[in-house]
Amino acid sequence: MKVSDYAELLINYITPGKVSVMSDIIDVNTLFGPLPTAASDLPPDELGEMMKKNAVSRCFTVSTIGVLLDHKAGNAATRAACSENRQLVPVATINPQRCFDVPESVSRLADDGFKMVRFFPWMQGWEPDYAPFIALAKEMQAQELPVMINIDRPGVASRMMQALGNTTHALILAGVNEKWMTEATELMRQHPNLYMETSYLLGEGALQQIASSVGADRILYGSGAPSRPMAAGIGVMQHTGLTDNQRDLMLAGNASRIFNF
Amino acid sequence: MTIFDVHTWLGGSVIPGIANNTNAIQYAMKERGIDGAILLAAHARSIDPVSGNRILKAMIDQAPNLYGCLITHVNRVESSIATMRELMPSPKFLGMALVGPNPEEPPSRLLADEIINSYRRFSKPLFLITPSAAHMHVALSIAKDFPMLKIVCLGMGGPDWRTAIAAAHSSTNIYLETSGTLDRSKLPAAIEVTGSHRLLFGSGAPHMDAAAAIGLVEDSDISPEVRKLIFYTNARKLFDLSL
Repeated sequence: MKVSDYAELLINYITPGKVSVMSDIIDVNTLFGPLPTAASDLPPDELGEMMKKNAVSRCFTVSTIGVLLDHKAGNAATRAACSENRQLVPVATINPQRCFDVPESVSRLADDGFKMVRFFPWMQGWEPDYAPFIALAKEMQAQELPVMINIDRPGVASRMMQALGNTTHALILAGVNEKWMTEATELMRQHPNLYMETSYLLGEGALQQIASSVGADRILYGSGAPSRPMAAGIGVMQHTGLTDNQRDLMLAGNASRIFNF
Repeated sequence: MTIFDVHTWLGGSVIPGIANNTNAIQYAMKERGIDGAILLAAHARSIDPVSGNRILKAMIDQAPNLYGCLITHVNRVESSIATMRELMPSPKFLGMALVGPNPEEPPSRLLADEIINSYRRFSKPLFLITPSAAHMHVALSIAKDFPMLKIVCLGMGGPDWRTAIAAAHSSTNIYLETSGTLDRSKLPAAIEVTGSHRLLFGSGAPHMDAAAAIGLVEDSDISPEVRKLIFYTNARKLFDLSL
């Protein structure tokens, strides 16, 4: 497989996965690669160590190179990392500001085996009703590729859903916290294809509140590891007051269903 | 392992029924393996420091493992000092927090000093809520000007935790409380620069579930001995606790 220089550099980090499956926990939100805003870069082998420690069986992961610099190089790095460790599930990213061939780009991602596409509007300086993003998201619906988008403030998710109109493929809101969880919950009531991941949903009682409003089958465990701890979200899941079945759905069952594992 | 949470709120959650009385707080603590906690009253911070602190006092008096942190406002100096004189002699109040009218901005030093001067006689730590670098700069200036006062920085500078660590390095009367940004790098970085004796476990519950705050300590690259210090020993020494 041909990869970019950046990807080749990253491959040198990679240690082949030796992590055994201890329990069925699927983390839908991890990253790897250089990250100037963090104290250190995020090597995939650190992700592997955290998975082992926290009994996480699979991680959906995306290269920070794709987020911060060049999505094509980043996606190549992600494919390379995931080919070395079968417990890592490849997630692509596209920066709408740099995408001039929407149908071809999306079609290529589907052919390359990516399970999801992530968007980072705040980090890249665009708004979620940005026309190129809307065009990409609609094309992903045609390809049945799930989409995850980071939400950084109130109102963003509402504007995105208004701009997208009626969609049917899985859309996952990342970064929702207690300040805008009522907005996310209301949107989830209106849109049955809308889901939420948990990396910032760490307030006491937050998961229970959302599960009672829209159902535990709409929540997916995500951590933001390795810069953020996996144990935080797993610990919160243990104290939700929900049933074992509901907790299992959030930790793995919903991801298995949405991504056909 | 004993766990003492130095930063828990009574009330203030957007979710109904969460942390709105000591029974709810104690139940949540027990579920998460937390043995004791210092409570701050959301009512005192957001509505009325006089009645909010009195309600807190009434609640913690009934709970042996719960303690209080009085909240004072720089925009209500006289009533803050009066409440301080009324409640701080109680052994159940382990410290006093100083807040300003806008949580996004640090309290004004000019207004804060009068309250701090009145507080010094109690010889208890001063708590400052520090969600940013700007808050940490004010905390450092207070720490430098009042070297006999121990300063507990709640939230450890938030995303600006490097500034918090630098402040603690610069002034040895600064203690850092571990809530704020969930970044696995921050505790090892703090230990490397300041040592492990001025780190205090805190959650900021209910805004952050204490289980998540524990998860940060558990998932950080630090030794079991240091975890013990952070979870309890450092707080025991600072507040003279015996759980």
